[in-house]
Amino acid sequence: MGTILPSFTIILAIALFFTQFQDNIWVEKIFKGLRPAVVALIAVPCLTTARSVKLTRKTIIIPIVAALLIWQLGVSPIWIIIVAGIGGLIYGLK
Amino acid sequence: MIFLQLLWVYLKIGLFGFGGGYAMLSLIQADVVDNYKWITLQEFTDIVAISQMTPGPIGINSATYIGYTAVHNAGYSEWVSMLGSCLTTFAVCLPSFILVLVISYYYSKFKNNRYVAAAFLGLRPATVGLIAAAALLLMNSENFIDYKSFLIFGAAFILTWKFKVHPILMILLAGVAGLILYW
Repeated sequence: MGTILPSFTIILAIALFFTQFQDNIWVEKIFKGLRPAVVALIAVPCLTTARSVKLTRKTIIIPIVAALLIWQLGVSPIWIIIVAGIGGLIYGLK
Repeated sequence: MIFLQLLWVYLKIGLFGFGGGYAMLSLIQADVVDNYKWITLQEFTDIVAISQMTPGPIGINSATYIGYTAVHNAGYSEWVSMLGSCLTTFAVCLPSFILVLVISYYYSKFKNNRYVAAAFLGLRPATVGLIAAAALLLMNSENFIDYKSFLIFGAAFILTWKFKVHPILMILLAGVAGLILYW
């Protein structure tokens, strides 16, 4: 509860007031700059995680297939998680 | 109605969000933006940006923000919307709270449990895919409006990847870049 409360209050305050700022031309420009950077900030942890998992030429198929299924075919990530967990069980316990 | 749906969606997200906030993002986007259409893709990206900047885990922050915005977009007042954010924040925390409680209780048993270790053999690479999907889903014309967007993306990527610039600093710089480039 303690960890959550400060961020909870801050976000709520921002949410309450942001709608008023949304049409401000300065805010508009700032967010045009922010949006691509946000995508980059997601892409980087993707690669760092990929590194830490030590993907090989064989295992890299898993994230590629998973990403394509979610991105192009709209498969729910929950299915990916379930299948991946089961797949891991089968592979690891054989 | 929307409150029950939000509760259900965020319990799911809280339960299946393996890999942390970023992996959660594709889960959140699938339901909140595509499926239920509670917020637009652009609103979603902005929320992600703000959730990154503010203190606290991005998963929790975005839950709070989306809970508020989804209810507010549906036409409810500020006060009711705040209840929405309480609901989603609570829902997203609950599964891991219970899970961690259970796991820490059985910790020594689970540590070497072959089943858990085996399952994670599959889960870990899949998480990379989940995060990749989150990034890919955000690469659209709303977020990348012109060549300047790509410049910012490239610069942000290199600065964070090679020079390990702190994400908050990165966001501040990106905001400034936006002001300058779109003057």
